[in-house]
Amino acid sequence: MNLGQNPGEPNLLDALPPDRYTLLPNTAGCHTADECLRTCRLARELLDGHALVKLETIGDQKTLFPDIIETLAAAEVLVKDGFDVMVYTTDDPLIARRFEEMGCAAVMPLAAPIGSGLGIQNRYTIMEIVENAKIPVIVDAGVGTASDAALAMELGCDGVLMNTAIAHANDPVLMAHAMKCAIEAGRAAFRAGRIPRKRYASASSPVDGMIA
Amino acid sequence: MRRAGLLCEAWTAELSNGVRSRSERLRDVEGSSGQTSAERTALQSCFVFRRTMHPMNALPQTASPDIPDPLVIAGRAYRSRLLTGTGKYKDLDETRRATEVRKSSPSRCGA
Repeated sequence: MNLGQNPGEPNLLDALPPDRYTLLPNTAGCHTADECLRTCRLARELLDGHALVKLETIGDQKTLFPDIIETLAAAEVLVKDGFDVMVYTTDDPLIARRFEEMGCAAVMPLAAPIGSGLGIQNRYTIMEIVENAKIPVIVDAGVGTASDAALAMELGCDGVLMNTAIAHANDPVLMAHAMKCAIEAGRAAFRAGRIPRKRYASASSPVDGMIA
Repeated sequence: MRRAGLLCEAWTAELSNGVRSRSERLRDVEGSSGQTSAERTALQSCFVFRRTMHPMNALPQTASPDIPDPLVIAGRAYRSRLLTGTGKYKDLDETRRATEVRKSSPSRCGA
């Protein structure tokens, strides 16, 4: 991959210029706190002090679920070390609160296993996390299609992070467009405030003035 | 690599070729004899935000004059609430086009 060291060849930084996009280094692939720490410090060195990182500690190859014990240990050190930590975690409201208390910049609960495309599996725990949080809540992992992203936003999440759902779609560019629209629609619906669910009908037409 | 990411592959390449001094400096800091395979492959996928025009300096969301309803993370405001990875695309051009889509105005979402 060329970051400019090979003039005349395709350069990622031309495709995604750093002055237009914020790059978020990710510790995906790390299995221990120590690996995460060194990876984040390495990223900071390579990006000239860039402090924003995504902390992700993989605990199991089958599910790719995060290892919370290792993630907590890494987050504590990274926050003290001056990193802005966006932390990938399970959809456990108590753990999410713990990460916030530690000083993380954002909490990113999974909707479903990474790359699974299953969508949000427990909307009630996501709602609980949103309700408690004072830092941004970004659903990370498990989104399959646009309605999954819209639901996350309707639940009050601040954003959605995804890769596979777009990149592995038959038409990635069109799916990216769909996701953008879903995020905007879901956010607008959340801000507008949905009507409460009721068990019985409520007529749209007025009953006054009807001809008997 | 399990989750190949373009930018992070690039970093891996850069580590082995171009920025020895940084790596060496890092090893001095860490007291490490070198990177493990996990560290070399750890930076496999990166994600991108649409960059803000005006850093927020920890102001509340409603204080942004130019970005309606921004996403604020670590004191910086972002226009987009969609964070996308750089991995798994067919090539760089597809990465660019899929990421660029987020720049279009809200009205472009009309059917």
